[in-house]
Amino acid sequence: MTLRVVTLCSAARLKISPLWQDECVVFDAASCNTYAVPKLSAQILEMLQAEKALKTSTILAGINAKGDLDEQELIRVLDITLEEFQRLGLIEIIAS
Amino acid sequence: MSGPMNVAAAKALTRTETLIDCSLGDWDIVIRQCRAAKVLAKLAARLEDHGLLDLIPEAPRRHLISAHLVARRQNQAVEIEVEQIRKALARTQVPIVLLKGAAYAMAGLPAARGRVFADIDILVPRERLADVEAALMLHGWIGTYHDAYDQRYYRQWMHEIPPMQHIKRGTVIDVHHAITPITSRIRADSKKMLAAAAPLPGHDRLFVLAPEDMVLHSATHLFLEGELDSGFRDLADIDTLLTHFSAADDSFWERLTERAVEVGLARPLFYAFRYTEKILGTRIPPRIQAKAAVGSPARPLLSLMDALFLRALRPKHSTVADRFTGIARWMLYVRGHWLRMPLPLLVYHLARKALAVEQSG
Amino acid sequence: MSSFNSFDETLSAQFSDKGVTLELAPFVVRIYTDIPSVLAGLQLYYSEYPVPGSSAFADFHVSLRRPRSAYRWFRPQVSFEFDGTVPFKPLPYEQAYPMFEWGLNWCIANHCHRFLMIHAAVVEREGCAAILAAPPGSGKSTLCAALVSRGWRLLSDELALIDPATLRITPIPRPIGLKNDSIEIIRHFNPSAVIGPVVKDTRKGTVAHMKAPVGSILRSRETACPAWVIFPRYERDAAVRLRPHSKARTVVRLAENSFNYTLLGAIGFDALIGIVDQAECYEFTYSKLDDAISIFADLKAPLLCQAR
Repeated sequence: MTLRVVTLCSAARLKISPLWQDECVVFDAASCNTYAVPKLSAQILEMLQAEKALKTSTILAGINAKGDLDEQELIRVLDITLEEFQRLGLIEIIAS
Repeated sequence: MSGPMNVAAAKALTRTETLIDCSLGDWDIVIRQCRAAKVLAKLAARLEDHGLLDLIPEAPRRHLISAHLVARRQNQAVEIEVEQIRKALARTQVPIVLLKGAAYAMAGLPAARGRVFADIDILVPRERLADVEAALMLHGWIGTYHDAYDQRYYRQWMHEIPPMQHIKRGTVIDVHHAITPITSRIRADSKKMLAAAAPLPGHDRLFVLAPEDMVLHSATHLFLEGELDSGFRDLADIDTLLTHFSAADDSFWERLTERAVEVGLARPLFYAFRYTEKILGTRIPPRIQAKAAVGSPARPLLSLMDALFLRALRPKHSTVADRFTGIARWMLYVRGHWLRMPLPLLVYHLARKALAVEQSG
Repeated sequence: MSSFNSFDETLSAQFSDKGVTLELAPFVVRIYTDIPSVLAGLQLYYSEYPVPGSSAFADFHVSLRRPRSAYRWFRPQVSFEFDGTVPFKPLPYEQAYPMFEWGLNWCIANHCHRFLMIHAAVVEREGCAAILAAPPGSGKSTLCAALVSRGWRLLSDELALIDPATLRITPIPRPIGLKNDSIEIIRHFNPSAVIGPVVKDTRKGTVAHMKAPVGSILRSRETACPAWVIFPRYERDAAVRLRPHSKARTVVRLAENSFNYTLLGAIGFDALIGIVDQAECYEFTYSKLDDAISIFADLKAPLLCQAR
């Protein structure tokens, strides 16, 4: 997995709904864009809300805290998710 | 010589505390006039300031809250939009002076509270106009008014570029390079005003006009241009600006009247003082009024202007219109164009507009 | 307060000048018109609604008149005005009554941001409301008309007005707009329904309105608690199907069906989260109205709503 440092977009002001059936709703108050996202994606955003910038390795460790998820699969999902977040204008990748 | 005109919206804004005794029938008129005048959210803000918003009847309150929510959202949108504009023009290194509503919002002035925004107006140096237009187009703004006549109107005759609209967001930006159009009969010293512009703290390359110039620009826009659909709102903005700046600084009145003469805008300032006082009951020190009288037109013309402006500056609503109001608006519309363009061009322009209206009707 | 239940030539002139004021809770509307079809429609659909005095506060002053343009000699038209502004182009004169209803919807959707407004029908029983959200053309009005013909209370056929603080839905019972085939279907389904004149060739096709049940009109001040959020879809010959729908996706779809979600920002988001949290969310497909009625009859209210 390429090591990157990721941060929430400065313009984004996110709110995250409670978890329902393994899904959440993410709301960006700046644009009012609203997305239904799987539990994992919501976890990633919550981590980014708590910390200004995070290394992708830190995120990976955070979502696999219990160590019971398949590492390779997780990396793949993380890559796709970060790409999607970037496309939606929610995050910025600030360093590699 | 004191107090606002007997127009419900004017009294509501300037004697807000009296609204507590308003009957439901009166509220009906107040809400409708304020909505037509685009000051409903401003009234909501005034009521809130007086701690009265929760005390008025439910039915009118719903409308005030609704207008307040719209204005609030628009205020947020303006901040986001100004940032987008700043980013788009960053490479050009052009200093950007924000004008009117966008300036009030970004400078955190009371005039921004409850304001409804349409386009964003900015002022850039004339020699950089082409760069600015190019940079905006690169970032998604496209020109409006593709009609060849309209393009000529703006570019060749008015020496301006037509407003540009963002292709995704739909927001509109109006790029100016002078306070008054080049062809205008009354020309402001734009260079002096630009030179006095103050940087906006925390925003790279963004400026707002100095307080006196902000008032003068607002007055110029209102009294020299012909579009008075927002006239009452613009007058209320001037009243808010005057009240705010004079409260913050004793010498403001003096500086304002002197500056008006200095930059060639004594006439619009005279009108601004006269009509804010007559319509909204704005308190202007008598000696300042006397000083500003240097900008007054000759008596006969002043009588005519009174007849026109005292009608056209009311909210655009049937409850405050008389049978001359329509004519007054039309005459001021023509006057606005006459002030901005040579006569032959004016005739052609008006004829063309009339024809266009007839065809679409 | 008197009731609006007599119509004659003298009233016509009066309404043109002074307007007729109707209470369409939670709003008061003043209508200025001299167009017979509009006056007749008001009498047909609104005779049970209260008529406040002329010194009341009116939320909306609307007028329907023949526009004054040269064109009017060629083809008669009707123009809708909201307090001196003209939001739409004129329509053919025959469409005057539907234009009144559509115009009023526009007034509400553009000026009532005190509420979170969703494009949905709302019906209620035992204090529990079902929000039927769907884009135009999905059969939502037909389903709504059928449900209120079988005992459900009508809160609205078009606009769910939600108080963002309490999450309760404010009723605005008005004539239900029916289109094309639905008109005959509902006439057949409920022979005692009061359905007004049919107007052809509108931009929505052939339209007619069904009068709101009197019970719904009389209870127009009773708010309701959202218990079910349902996305209905009519599908010819389909078996009836009620499937639980993801709550997260329900929020997104409600936002898409809302008039002012973006305007309300975080307030709207919080309200939708609150509603979806307490309500049961479903997708619903149907073809036969009787099947639909049965399924709805079997809906169980969530605990939270039963208590209210």
